[in-house]
Amino acid sequence: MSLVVAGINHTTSNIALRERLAFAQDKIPEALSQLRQRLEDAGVVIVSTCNRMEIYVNHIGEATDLLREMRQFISQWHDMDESEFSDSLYEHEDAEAAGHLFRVAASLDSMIVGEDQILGQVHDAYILAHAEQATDKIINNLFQKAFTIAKKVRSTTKISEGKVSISSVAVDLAVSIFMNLTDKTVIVVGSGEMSELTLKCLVDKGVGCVIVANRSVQNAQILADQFYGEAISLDSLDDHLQRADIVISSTGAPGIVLHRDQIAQALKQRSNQPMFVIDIALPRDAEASINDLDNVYLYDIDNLKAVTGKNIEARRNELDRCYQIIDYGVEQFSRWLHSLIAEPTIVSLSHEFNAVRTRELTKTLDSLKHLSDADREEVEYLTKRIVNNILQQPMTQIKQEVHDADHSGVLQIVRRIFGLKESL
Amino acid sequence: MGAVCVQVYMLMAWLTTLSFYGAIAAYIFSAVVVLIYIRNGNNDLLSRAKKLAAFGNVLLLLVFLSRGIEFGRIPFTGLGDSLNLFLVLCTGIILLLQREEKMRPLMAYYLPALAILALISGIFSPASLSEAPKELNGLLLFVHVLLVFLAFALFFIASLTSMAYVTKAQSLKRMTSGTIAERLPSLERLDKVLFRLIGFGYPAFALTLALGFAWAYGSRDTLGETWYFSPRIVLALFMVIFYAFSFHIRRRGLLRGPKLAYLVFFVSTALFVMYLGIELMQIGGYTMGGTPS
Repeated sequence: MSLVVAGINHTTSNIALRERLAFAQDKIPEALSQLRQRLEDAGVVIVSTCNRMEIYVNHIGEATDLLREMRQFISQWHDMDESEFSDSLYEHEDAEAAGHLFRVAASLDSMIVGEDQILGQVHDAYILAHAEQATDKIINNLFQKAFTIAKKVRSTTKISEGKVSISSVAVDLAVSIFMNLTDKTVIVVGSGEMSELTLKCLVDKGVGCVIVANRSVQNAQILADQFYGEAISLDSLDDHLQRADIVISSTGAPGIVLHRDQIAQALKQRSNQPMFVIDIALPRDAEASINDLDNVYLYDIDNLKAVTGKNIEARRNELDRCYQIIDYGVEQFSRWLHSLIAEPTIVSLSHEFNAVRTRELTKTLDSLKHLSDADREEVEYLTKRIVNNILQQPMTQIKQEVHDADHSGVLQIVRRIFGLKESL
Repeated sequence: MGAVCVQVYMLMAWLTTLSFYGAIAAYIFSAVVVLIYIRNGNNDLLSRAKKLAAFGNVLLLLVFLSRGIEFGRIPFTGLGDSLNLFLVLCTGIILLLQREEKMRPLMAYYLPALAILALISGIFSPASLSEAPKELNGLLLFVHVLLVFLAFALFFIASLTSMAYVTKAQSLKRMTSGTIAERLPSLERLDKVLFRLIGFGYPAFALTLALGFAWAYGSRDTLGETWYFSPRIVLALFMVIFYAFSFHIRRRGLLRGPKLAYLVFFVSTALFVMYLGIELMQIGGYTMGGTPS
């Protein structure tokens, strides 16, 4: 029996190749079905995201044969020659395959380490395969273990703490200041790609009201329309500043656009309610001393970059702890996988003992006809207890031996001693 | 019959002692767990710390129960009982606050403070816990004592919340990361919690003062004509004025944010320390039991 994974990701391939090898979501059921036909009811899961395409398979037989079949399938499905992707394809077997999935689900293999999307994507891929009845006992256990480990990694380490993009850091800071963004107003001063992105993140997070201020009201209107906002002229900014809980400034102006006095005045008018000023312009739009005002929190592009830098570093520092959790998970999974080798022998042993028990019990009960039904049940229960007690220690020991030593030798001895059939 | 009574009495005394020291240990352990959380940020530790504090609270309630059964009256008076009541109420408020979303990291501020109080109680209370609690003279005084501790507990938790607010605001201003401040709820939420605590505490305190004055006026023959110069009364009046002032300026938006949080923290802490000092040194002019000290 072999558990294997074959795939490509953002580190082994460029985006063009990833696009070609991606499986469209609506075609995955068909792909699962085809692969299972080729591999005679193997357990299969296909994970296909923008950064990776991976196929997990569990099947009876040699791993090398299985991987060759999988390469052929990928080649035929995507109508590509194997040589076009074989250099980018990574392949792992058994414990390594499990370790790989655990790292993927825990987001340690992601482009942005610690991002939270991948767990959901892996989960969706598994649910789809499960719904298509394409999974088996080992694949089910593997993925359940991967989800448990991923959650443990997230909850016991800081791997997903702190955002690592400028716009998401700005949103995080807004959430650190305000309890609820739905009743908050954002004023965007000027326009630019970064401010638009930050605004989008804030709106996605629920910001209720958007005002766009620009020298040209027409230009402001274009951006405002995208977010059902209000467009105002830059000259009338002072009249609206008091409404702003969050100010995003990114004009191309050479000088200061947001002065300390302006913000102080707005603050007074809004009864000292906190203001968050995000200055992502270069040169800066906001006077640095604005940050000295109570209840005003000013972050410029350098401050935001510093936060992302620290967060990336903090995540890297957590990697060792994450790998420890994963290594432990792999060890547990391998132990379970090994114990499955002993399962037919254990089942056979149990069958053999119970056959003897039933045979002897029937003989005895036939000669004890005076016993009531309750007494017969009690005697039967007694024999079951005896057999279970006798088997408990050998079964535990067989599982242990299978893991620790050469399992084929141990199982052969057990089969020989108890005269068990090979087929079981 | 007499022998049975003695045995019950001894059992209750033993239960009181066991529960009391168990509670102190639970509070101290909860603070240790929280300190580890501050260092490594493992959220699981917070739920463990919460369980330990809740366990400590249950044990303190057992202390009340066993002392109540032992002496046949509600044990709110005396240093040990009042400190324990204060701890029970503070823990209750904290557990209620934790039910709200994202409030758990605040335990990093609350539980160490409760552990210090538990430690003070552990050092100073055992002697008073071996004595019978003084009888409260009537329902008026009972409600007065209960409400005053509830108000103090609310103010105490408010002062710790204000400390959390200041830490969070400073962290945002100084752009520091990797600290406990990052894990705290938003400034706006902390501000709301802070003034909700004061909002509940202030009317409770004003009402308890009115009840206390009514009772003290009725008992002026026992307490003496100058009962209102008692340090405890003066402090209480100062507190009422301070919280009325801070509540007013907050509602009007005249002062908000870190400065107000600093003010609440320093004044509340100073008042609490002074109050504790008065209680420990027994210079209050009268005791909760209603007899002059």
